[in-house]
Amino acid sequence: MRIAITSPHWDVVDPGDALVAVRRDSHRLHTGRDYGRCEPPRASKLLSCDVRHDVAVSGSRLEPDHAEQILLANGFIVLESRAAACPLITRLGRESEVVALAPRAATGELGWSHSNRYGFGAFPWHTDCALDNLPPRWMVLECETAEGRTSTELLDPGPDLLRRMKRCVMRVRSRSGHIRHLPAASPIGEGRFRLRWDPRVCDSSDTELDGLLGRQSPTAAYEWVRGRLVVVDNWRLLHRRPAVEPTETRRLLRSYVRAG
Amino acid sequence: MMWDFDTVYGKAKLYFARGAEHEHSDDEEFVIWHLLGFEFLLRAPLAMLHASLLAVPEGDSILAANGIPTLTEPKSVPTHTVVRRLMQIVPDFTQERERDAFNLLNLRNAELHTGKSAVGNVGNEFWLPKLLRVAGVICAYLEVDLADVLDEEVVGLGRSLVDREDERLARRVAGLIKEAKSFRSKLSEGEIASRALGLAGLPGQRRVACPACNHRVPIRAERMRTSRSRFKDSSLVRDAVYVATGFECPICTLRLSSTAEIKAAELTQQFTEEEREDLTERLLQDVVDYDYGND
Repeated sequence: MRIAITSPHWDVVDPGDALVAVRRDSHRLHTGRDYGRCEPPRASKLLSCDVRHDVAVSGSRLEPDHAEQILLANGFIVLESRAAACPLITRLGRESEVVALAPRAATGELGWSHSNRYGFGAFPWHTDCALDNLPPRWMVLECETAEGRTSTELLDPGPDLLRRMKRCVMRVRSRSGHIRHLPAASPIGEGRFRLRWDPRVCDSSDTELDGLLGRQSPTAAYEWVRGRLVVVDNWRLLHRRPAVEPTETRRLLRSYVRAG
Repeated sequence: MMWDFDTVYGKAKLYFARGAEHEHSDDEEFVIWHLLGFEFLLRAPLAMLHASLLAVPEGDSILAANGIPTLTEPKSVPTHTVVRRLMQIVPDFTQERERDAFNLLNLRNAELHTGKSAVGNVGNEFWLPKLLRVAGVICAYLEVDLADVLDEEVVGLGRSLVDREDERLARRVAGLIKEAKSFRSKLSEGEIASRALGLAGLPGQRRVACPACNHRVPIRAERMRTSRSRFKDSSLVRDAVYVATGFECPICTLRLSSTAEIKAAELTQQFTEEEREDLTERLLQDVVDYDYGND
């Protein structure tokens, strides 16, 4: 699958390798090219304007505090290797065990995993561990193997979508059948919210929200190459895997990082 | 865990949403669901700080609040404890909001625990402004909009009722000020001077200009909460926040008996005072200076 990097709505952060594509009309992510026609970014957004220079650089040149600033500003950071990411991950907290993810055919049953349900098709926008009492803040995805163009997409909900999510309460059912009612967006102070969203297990009080979210274009997308690693703010961004070809090789390693 | 913020906050929103599905007038379920959601909204700020603020101190409940499995069912603190704690934690959760909260909780109890059809016999103008006012200060604390928690139409209806209450209060306070001005205009200079003498004996702190006669009169205020202590010039310093609760002018006899009346009279309602504590004295208090076991 190709990311729509040729679209006028997208900026390619590193034109040489299409490392990261960032939507131009995104309310939070801007590239250097946008300076001319955007409102001057507020101080808190300045870092995200440096996407061109920072996100795609080799992590070995990034100090962990700088990397963390980029991560906090953008909601994600792409690093070229696990070695480059280690100082940042250590700084963020304790990393869980690593689980390997690879596309496989749908089982035809309403299984628990995305692959069981969607097979090689596109996954819906979701946050990971949406049923946890406290979902992990950071998700780490690392590419072990990738052949062809395969990517993961990120969505930073805009103000209107976020407003709908803030008003939404979901009826969620755990694997054991336990029911709870959880907000799709919980306040966590300083005007920030922790998002939960997983349409497989969450019935939303806002019946239109699921469809609305499904129609959202990604805010950012990054292509996988062997060794590349991305750290995602799982409280702020939703993510999804686009459809993959059954013949495509794509094996990612996923872990979570919680504050120590 | 039973006191996770998300579950408590989620349940408040759920119950409010269920209430909003009913007719907004002459439908008891509209009221009941809102009153049920209200209790969870009250508990949300405590859950946000830490789940153990919602656990009773007896037994294993505090262990449960910290994620430790217990053999017995954990128990929640009663609502009056929740309200007391909110007064210390949530800015603007004043005595008036405390009264509003207890009015709503008593209405719920009367409906759920007695044979009375309590909610069927009150109009929206009784309970909805109270709910909106309390929810307003809690939402401000949680940094969410009222409409993130309550249905937008319900918020609109509540606001119109609050505005009507505020207008009535403003008219009443304007009347009190007018009466006081009239009283003051009938006093001789000697009488005014004599009454003003009484002011000298009153505490000097937190004086405001009387809206009727302009004399600087002490305002009654209640200490609500304090900031964290900080070091400053070898002392521990903290800010104490006081909220005005009453005002009585000995000259013109203007009397305001609530924070709402004081606000309607456009007087200052909140005062912050710096408190200092000598660090040496604090440390001395903490020292056990006898020879333990050596006497």
